[in-house]
Amino acid sequence: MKKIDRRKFFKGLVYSLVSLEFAYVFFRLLKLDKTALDETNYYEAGDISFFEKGRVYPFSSARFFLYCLDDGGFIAVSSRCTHLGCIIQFNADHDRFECPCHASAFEKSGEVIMSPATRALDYYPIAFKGDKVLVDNSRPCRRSKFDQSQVMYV
Amino acid sequence: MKHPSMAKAINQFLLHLHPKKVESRAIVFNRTFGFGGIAALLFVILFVTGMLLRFAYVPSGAGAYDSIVRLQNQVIFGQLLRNFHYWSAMLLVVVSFLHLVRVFYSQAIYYERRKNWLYGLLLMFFVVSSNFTGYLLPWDQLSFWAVTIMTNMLSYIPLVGNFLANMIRGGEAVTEETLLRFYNFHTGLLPLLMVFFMAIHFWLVRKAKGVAIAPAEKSEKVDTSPNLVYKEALTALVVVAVLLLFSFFVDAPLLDKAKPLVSPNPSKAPWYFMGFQELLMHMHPAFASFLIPLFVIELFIVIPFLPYPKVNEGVWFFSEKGKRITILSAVFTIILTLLLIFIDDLLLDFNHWFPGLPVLITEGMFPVLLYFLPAGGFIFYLKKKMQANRMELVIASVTMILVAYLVMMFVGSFLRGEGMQLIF
Repeated sequence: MKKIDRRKFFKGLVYSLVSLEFAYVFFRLLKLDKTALDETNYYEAGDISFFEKGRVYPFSSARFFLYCLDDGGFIAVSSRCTHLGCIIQFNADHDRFECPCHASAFEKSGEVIMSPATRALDYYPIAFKGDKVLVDNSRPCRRSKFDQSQVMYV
Repeated sequence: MKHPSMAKAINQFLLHLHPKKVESRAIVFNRTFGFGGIAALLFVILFVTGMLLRFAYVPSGAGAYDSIVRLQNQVIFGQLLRNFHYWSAMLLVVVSFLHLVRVFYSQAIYYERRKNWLYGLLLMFFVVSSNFTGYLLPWDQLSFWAVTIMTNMLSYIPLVGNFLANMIRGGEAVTEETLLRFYNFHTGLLPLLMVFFMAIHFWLVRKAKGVAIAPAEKSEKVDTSPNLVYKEALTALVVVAVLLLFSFFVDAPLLDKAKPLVSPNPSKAPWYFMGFQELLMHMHPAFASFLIPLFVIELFIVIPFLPYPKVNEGVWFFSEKGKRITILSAVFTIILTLLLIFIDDLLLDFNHWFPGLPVLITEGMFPVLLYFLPAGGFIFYLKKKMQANRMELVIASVTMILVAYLVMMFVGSFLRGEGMQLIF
């Protein structure tokens, strides 16, 4: 074990601080600036009365599907597969979402039916304003399973 | 060699890389196959062609793809330049891998060479990173989705995975931000780091007195120039000629412009990551993209630092028995891996058989045990029946890891079609 004297200690300290400084600056450069995106940016999906119960509506450019449940609740499901990030599609014949990349399949609520995906599709917060359905498609919420609390009612 | 400027170049440049005299057995071609030298040559080719490509390339989501198309269609030799860069890069990954395999099997990573083995592993990481960051730049459907898949594989690392993936991409998904980032890593930071570490790598080769060769009673030294210099020049010319010829006839792939809303079917990672993607189809991501790679990397790092009863520096496969063990392990691994891939794809569904257990056990522990029990049994067999010593067991384990990865890469790349289903 080498002896650490005062001079060595301060030298080491200064080097570490300078390296940390550089590392931090580089890190901040790469880090996504969250504040710019934090403003809730609601996407207007349409009139509440327009959506029929039990159907799925694609909003592909906004990257979500709006599912109107049989009981009239809404859930906005992300179109990004939780396995490796491909874009899922709704298969009307099988009545489920399917991923073209690795054949994962999901319920309309986002729950996994077939692996390799291991968790349910992300969902987006929904708000109702007047008679419109608004979807906050800038803030995906991670979840492992579907549960009733994720469904929003008018 | 009579020409004065040539003599000057050799004296002042090459004889700083090489000693004045070299052991005649060290420069026999199949001692090293020239892999290290070819890798260095490819780096130079990539550096030069990359510099030229920079003049034509626009690193933005709107401009990248069009600038590549313009390069290919309107610039004289533009397509050739891109092909040459592309195929050199692919060859660099292959050659670096072969170089790693060569130094491992010819026992050239022990004692004074072990530090250089670590620098070599680091350089291998830089080579793959360079190739991967360059992969995105054409901004077509192939590159966009390959990078999407690879960065999402990272996000499965426990605790830091998501943070890391978002940090690399600059967001939740691959965007223009990612393109700019990859462009800067690819054309700035990574080449700079590689030059730095290559210098150390070469210097440590000199310090270890060159290529590892078995000790012999009679050693014969010959002049580096012309004996070694001629061989190097010939190899370099052959590599450049073959690469150029290949680039004349085979174009680097370019699909449609990237469409972030449409995933092609199937979507695959770059070919050298296909082994991981295949692994991910069979096991829980915590194992496939974290625990197993971590275990392999750690094993590779500690190999030269383990205590061995004996090291035969410069002897291929350690011994004749080592050679037999290597071949046996390779054959065993090919059969085991293929068999388990097909069984897992066609028969097994632990998740539905044991619905009560957590996925980490059904999709993680079970497949891992299914693979590692027979593999462990094989190692045990080598130890008990063939009296393999520790060095031979390490050779067997590394062989199994390398071959298993190659088999998975092969299956993922060639035997999987639409929806990643097996095709035949």
